[in-house]
Amino acid sequence: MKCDSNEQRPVLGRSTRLLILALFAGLLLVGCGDGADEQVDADAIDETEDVANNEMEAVSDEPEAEAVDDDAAVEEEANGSDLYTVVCETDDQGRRTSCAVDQETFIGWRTLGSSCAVCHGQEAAGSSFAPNLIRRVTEISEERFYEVLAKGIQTEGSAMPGFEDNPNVWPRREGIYAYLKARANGDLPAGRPERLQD
Amino acid sequence: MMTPTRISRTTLAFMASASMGAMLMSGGAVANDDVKERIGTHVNHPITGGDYQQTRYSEMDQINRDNVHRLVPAWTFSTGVLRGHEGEPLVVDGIMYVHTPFPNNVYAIDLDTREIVWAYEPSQDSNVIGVMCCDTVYRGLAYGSGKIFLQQADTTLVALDAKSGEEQWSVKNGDPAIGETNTNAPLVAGDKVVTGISGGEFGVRGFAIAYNIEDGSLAWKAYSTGPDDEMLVDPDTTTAMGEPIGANTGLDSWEGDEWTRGGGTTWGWFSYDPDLNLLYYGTGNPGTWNPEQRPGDNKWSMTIMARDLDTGEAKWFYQKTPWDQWDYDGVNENILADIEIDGEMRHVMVNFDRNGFAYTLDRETGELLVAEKYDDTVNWATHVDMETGRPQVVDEYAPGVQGADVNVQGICPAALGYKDQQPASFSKQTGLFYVPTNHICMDYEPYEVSYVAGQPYVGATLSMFPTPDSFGGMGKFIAWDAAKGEVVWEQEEAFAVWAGALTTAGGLAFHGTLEGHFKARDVDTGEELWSFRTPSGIIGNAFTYEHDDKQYVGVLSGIGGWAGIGMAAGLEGDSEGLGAVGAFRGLYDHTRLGGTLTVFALPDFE
Repeated sequence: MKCDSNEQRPVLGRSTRLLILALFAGLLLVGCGDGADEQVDADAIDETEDVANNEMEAVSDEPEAEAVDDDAAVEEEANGSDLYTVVCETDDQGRRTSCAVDQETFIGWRTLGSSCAVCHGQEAAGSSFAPNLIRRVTEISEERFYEVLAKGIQTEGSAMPGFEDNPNVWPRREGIYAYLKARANGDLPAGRPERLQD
Repeated sequence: MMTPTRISRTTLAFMASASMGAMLMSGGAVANDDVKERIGTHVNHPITGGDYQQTRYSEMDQINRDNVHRLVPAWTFSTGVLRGHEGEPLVVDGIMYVHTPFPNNVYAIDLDTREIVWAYEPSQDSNVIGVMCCDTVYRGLAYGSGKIFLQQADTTLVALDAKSGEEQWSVKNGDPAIGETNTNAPLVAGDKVVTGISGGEFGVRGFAIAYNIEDGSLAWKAYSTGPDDEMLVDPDTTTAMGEPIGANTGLDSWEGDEWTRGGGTTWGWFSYDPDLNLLYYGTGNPGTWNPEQRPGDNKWSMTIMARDLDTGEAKWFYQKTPWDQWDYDGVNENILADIEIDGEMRHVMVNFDRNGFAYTLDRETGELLVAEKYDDTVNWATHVDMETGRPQVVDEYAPGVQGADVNVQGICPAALGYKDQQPASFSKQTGLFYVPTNHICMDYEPYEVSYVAGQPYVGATLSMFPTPDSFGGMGKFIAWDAAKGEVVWEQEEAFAVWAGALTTAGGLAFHGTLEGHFKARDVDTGEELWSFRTPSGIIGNAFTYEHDDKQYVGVLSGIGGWAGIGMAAGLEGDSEGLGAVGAFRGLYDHTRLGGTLTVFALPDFE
């Protein structure tokens, strides 16, 4: 997966991360083939919890980078996603309260917020004048999605510009699509995802 | 008339002196009186905002707090357009002029027959829609010298004969290919028609521009950023906080050439003081939403400007938000009023900025008199330093200070401000201001972005949500004492109050809501005395006029605009959320699209 050139900064402080890991019942790891909602098997969950415990130890006395590396290794092992990787933390009722996504998907989310949200709304949920993109990606093919993003679209009284010459959007198109599919497949709730440090 | 022809130098000189003469005899005075006269009658609504001062106050009291409960619809008109309907129609000599969002149709309606006298339906390249931020809204027409002025989205300014609808002249004010569009209502004052430019999210370099109403010839153009001569400033006589601004402030307060895409667009409202001959307006956000890319004060974005109407020369500036880090676009209306401050009658202007501060300034000198929060949950700044005029920024809520790629959480207000374009009203009866407000906060995460002409130049992603630890709603309607800088009363609303206010001598304040309710409140208490559910959510402005000795109150409904993002439907099973999401969507449960004018009156029977 492509990475954004921007400098990465840890989003959560160490103490916050520790707190979250200690509070939530478990981590839910979701991978995605082409829209399939893969169930994570018990082994994977156990393994993830192990990672969580390891990370807690790691964070307390080792550089964070190492803990992050551990994370990445397990995700690769747990799923062979070709669109996105989502790692969620859940509360004791199984509700996802925090999710992290791979770099590309994160950049996709951010690009949507910057270049698309003025029309398609916060979280791509649509507005009074532009469609809900999460719903839209379930209705059109991936090829059609990139075609519309590249060339724009014109209907009566409505117009979307093409973004193929836009360096802020076009190089990040796969991340945009990945984010929308993750939302459409129910693998990622609305709101700001964290970024996996891969 | 506008086609270039080869003329000898002597002919040119002769023509120039002839037209100068004509201007002196008829131009300025007559056009000015034309509008003034009609403002004075209180029967017409010849100007957006009701008068030059933009008070949105009417002396009419036929409809008042004792009988408003009997108010009923008198007639309605569908505009045939689905997009967000901002602004209000004009009423001139028995004709109502209704504007629509893109494609910016104009309908002249005879108030006797309520039939369409003429319609103007311009043909515009629909590509312009793609470069309009936040819906294809349009805030209104202007009238003067027997003409109706239409500012189209594609930046064409058209003068139409008010009687026939026939096109008199048209000029092009900008270029949509580089993201320049228009949504503002032009202002006619003297022999000029003044308009602005939109495109703050496209790296446009903002300006105000004035044309001569007789023929559309350019009078002056004043940029918001850049060299002194292009900004029409004089480093020695143009002042800010009482001091000369000095040379090259529009260049030196920017890094490199960032000022060339420095925003400061002028899509808000214009007001005018006929005695001082000064024009007032605000400039918008500075270029990209990533403040790291444009260190400096970014002058003169986010600024209230006072300019000579005839020459465009800047008299004074006041920058409300130097180095914007929140998109607190400074274009909100400047209402001119005479109020008593510390026992002295002062000629002031009052501005309710997006940033949550209400400013009272001496409108002749630009002296800052009052700067206070009109919602006490504002947290990005503690206060405004009255010596320097600068807001005291709280680093914790400053994305520019925190740096790019950091998600700064819980900033109040959100980018759409505690008040956006929805204009407030000044009641000459109570001496108070009546303000429709938002009550929404945000998380803001800036990042590096590249400029491409005609493409969004944003570089930040935002999440917006109702102000935390408050009453849960997203708007209020408040009464404000601009002399003391205090809220007098406030009424809570479930959604942002995105609709312009009207006050009348009947002791009433009118405003719409996003759910679609049109409300009348008691100016003394804010108590809701009457409401009517219109066909769609309201982002238009209440207005009033008289016809055949009867007072009417009207409003355009038609949800949309930036508030239209609240129309997003929630997904099934979308009950989870990572942080602050969801609450903004509820509008879909209340209303649907569609533009309608609804006009109300008291019934003829008792």
